[in-house]
Amino acid sequence: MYSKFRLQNFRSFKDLELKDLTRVNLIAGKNNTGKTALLEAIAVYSGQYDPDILLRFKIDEIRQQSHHRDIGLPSWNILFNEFDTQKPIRLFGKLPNVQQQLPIFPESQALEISVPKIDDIEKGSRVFKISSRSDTIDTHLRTDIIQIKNEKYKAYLMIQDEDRIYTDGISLQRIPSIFLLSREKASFEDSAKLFSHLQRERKQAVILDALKIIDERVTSLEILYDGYPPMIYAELGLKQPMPIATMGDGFNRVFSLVLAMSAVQGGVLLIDEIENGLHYSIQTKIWKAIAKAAELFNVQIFATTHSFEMIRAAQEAFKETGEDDFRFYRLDRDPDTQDIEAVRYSPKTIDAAVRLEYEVRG
Amino acid sequence: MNAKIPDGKTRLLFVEGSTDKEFFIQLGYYLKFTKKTPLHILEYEGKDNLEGFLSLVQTESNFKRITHIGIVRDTDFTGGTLQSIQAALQNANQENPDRKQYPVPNVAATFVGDDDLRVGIFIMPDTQNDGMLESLILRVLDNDAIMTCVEQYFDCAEATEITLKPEPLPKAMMRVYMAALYQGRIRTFIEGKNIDFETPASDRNKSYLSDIYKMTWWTWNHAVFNDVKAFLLQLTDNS
Repeated sequence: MYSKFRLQNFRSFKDLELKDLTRVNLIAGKNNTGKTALLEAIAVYSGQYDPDILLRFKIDEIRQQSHHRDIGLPSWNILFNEFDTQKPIRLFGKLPNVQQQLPIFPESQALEISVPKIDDIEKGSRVFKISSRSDTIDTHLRTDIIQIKNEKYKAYLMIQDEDRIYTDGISLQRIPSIFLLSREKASFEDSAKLFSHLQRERKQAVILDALKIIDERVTSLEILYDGYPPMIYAELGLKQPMPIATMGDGFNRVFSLVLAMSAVQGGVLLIDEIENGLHYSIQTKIWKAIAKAAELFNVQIFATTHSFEMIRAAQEAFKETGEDDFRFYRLDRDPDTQDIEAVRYSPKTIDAAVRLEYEVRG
Repeated sequence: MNAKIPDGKTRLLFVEGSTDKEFFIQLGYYLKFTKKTPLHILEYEGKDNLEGFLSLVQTESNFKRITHIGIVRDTDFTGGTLQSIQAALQNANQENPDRKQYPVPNVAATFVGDDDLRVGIFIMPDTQNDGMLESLILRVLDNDAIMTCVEQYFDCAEATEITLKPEPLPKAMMRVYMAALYQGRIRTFIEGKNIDFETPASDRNKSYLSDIYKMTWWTWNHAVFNDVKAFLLQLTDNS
């Protein structure tokens, strides 16, 4: 579980630090203050040994929608604050006993600056083999991963070219992560696989309990195979079971959330606009279900929101548990510099905000 | 509550509720405050909420632009009002170690701190005696004929089986006074005052004292207001 996360020169952030992170971290802020970008940074960092993750966000969306790959395609420099590729992106995460740094450079700059440094840091450390489909390595981005543990430094090198990233011999611990976009639904096949896994572990009760908050008629869930792909059905006491894909957004949202937690055990779940599809009257119960599942699967949650009701519901739910498992942050522009900063709310302060209905969303 | 520090304001006055806010708006008008006066008044909705409110204001992005803060509170009739405000300031600082910190005054009615932020505390009615805003107003009405009736009313009430608590008495007396006023001299208002320093409470939630400031005989020149005026002038002083 991250206790601290810092990002420099990534997208809209010059230098942002989130301290005192806990099990469930809720992030608010006005539009365009970088809430989703922050989740992206955590996803990039968490999947650092799979830098291909960089391609999965907005750039990838644009690529997919562009009929001609060379037209209107933004360059990698959009990942850099103010498009300034001279300043490397640096992502830092603090996990128990280990603090790692993930710098991301434009290749031309990185080769000059960092490669010699790797040997200096630790003689004999393994620099991964770099391969490419072509003889000329036409790379755009490079990542050096520096792990700081017990005062010893290890560095790993990755290079990616325009389309793919070539790495070899990954050996360090990876942090499982899933990024749930605001309106994303898991595929039927993925859902069925994950649900089967839950059943094997006999943990399906946690998802059933959460779904009962949305619809108390649900008594069981089952996978039926009427043809590819297999689908999950809910037993509601009707004439026949109901495919959950045909049920409401809230039902599917809760289903996706709990299923995603089961899939990233020991890792992080990143949720954009968590309130989507959830009626205000059940939000406190939903947070309690999320808290229970997060603990069961040992998952750390980072979620964004625009909803004061969702913030209030979270505060009320976690206050009842008595555990220090909830933290609220607001992303805000400094009125003088316009740089984005993260304002951390202590449990007492967010409690006061809810009591006084004080605007905390920015 | 939707407290937000507006752009362009560098001085804040924290008051307990809408009645106090209205009082300071009217006093500010008397002191010739205008829209250009960098003062903004925020309500913290009762003394029990002061600490949480201080923490929340500290988290606002415009807080770093604030240079002066005045905190106004009624007396705790059990004593220790200053210490209670000091503790609220200290606790807010502890809750927000990364934010600009509140200087903590050792005495009331004096601003302490540096160019970054100065804080002053004013304990109603005059930082020395127990009371509240209404205690101050009652002193202005010392020689008012209606007040004699009001006092007799409470004397009469006390002679029955009712035991009056000292804490809300000034408030209760003012409510009775205002009730009588509405039946009688209420038509002697000075109408049409153009308040341009802040939106007066009478245009939002009318405070029960709003109308007294509009009476033809009302005066801000009374000596009982000297301390509170001095405090407000320190808060807005540009030197």
